[in-house]
Amino acid sequence: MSMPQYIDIIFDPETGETEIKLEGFPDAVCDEVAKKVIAQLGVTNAKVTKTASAEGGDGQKRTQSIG
Amino acid sequence: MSHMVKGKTSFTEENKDLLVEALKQAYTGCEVRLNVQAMISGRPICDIVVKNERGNDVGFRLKADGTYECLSYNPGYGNDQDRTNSALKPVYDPYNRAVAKKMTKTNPALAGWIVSKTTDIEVKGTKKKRIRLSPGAGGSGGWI
Repeated sequence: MSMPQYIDIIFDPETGETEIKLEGFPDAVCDEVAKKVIAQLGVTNAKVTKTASAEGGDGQKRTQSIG
Repeated sequence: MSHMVKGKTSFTEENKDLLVEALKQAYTGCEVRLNVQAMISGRPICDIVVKNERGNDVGFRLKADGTYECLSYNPGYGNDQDRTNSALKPVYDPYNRAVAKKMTKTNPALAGWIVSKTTDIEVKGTKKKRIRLSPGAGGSGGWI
């Protein structure tokens, strides 16, 4: 069964503080997409944290990043 | 004493057009002008100015790092940070949505993805807003 895949842009409506969460991307792709999303949103000082990385049944890795 | 307030933003020069559109949505009925004087203390020339007929202007000036600083007015009471937050609060949602849509058009890995409606969520007891990008019905986009 394939993993759900999405990118969440989560922001504080009062301060604009933004987090980015990526789900369902293979490791290498996740890093690359996270970099691009961070650059486009302008959150250049974002910290990227991998909160999960698991082998899926289809051989793809699931990762999650928060910026 | 009344004074001008400067605040950092994450709005970038690269997304200037999106910021202008977001400001038009956020400040309905106000004119958004480029390279004019903002009617706030100090009368600074700004790259982008929201001309507010019913109050003080809000200005945006490009910094060397490629982001805009927000210039607004504090009438002499209240916290400066609150003034900046208040000026920017209506802009975050339309700006972030516009950037998300741009991502789906300019990033091959996100080709065909859709941007869902903004939803209210709670993270560790704090109210936040979420914009979700996900693969459209036609497929999941391609890997980079």
